[in-house]
Amino acid sequence: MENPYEQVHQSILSRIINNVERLNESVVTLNQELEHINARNKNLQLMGQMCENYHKSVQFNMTATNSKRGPL
Amino acid sequence: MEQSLERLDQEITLHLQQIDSNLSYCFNKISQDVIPHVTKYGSVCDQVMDSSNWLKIMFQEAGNLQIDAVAGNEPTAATAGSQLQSGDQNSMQSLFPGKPRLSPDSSSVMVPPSLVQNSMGAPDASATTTTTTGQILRLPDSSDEERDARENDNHDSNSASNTETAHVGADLNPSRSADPDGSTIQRQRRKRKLSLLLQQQFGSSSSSVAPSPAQLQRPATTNNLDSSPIRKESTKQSNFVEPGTVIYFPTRDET
Repeated sequence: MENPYEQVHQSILSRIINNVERLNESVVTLNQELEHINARNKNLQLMGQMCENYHKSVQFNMTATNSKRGPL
Repeated sequence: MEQSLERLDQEITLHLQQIDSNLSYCFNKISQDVIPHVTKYGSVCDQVMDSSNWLKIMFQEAGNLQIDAVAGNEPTAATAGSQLQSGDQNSMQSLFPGKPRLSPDSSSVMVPPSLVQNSMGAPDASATTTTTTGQILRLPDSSDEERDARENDNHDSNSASNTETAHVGADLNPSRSADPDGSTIQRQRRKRKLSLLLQQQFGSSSSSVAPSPAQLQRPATTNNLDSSPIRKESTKQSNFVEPGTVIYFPTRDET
């Protein structure tokens, strides 16, 4: 008994396997891109934190010296 | 029995084709829509970094000023001798390697402007000295937590340098401790810059590579399509049809 669907199933399965491989490759490339972007954005994060700390220290010093004024 | 078997086979083929169409849809979506946008986002982030580069330079020089200001304040703090202040200084000195990491060169180069730094750092020193110690400790404590959290964030890359500077800076002048660390940090920073440049080139190359597998492998998949010629049209449609669509298989008509 040769199942006529067997060939079809096999072909579809091979296609699915190919698709999965391609999908995996694309996901890997996407992951690489995201890693690069993350590594680059770490610098931005550091600079944002520095700005925040600078703002806090300025606020503290202004309040400590009583030279803080409201916004114009 | 045979009818039920045929039905089962047809259902199996249908489900397999659904899986196949979904996978191909995912692949096309990622390779055609997601990756180009991600590369665009990366280029935009690069532009942001370039445009905000002056902030980096500003904070570098400001950090060097603060280092000298901390050095000037150290004896008074040492005479005060409170553990919290020393802890604050440790946090400060562990923070500063983060800035010389960006420009260790300027730390040595910027030594002559120390005369200017006195004028610049004087209000800070006066502010810290004029206020009571309790007020001094409050804000740095709050900032300590954040800095600690930040250090925890960057703990993987910079834990060694931070701890070294923290231990050395507690005993010695921070200017002395900053120089040897600055040399190593400088090298690390150069390496990072090189790696960033490489990554940028890599990112562009990888982004250019990304669509290529789709183009290269599509003919390979079309070879597999020859098993069922009608499916070519169906899969071409399925590339742009929503993933839930069912592709009817020709064998059903054959049977």
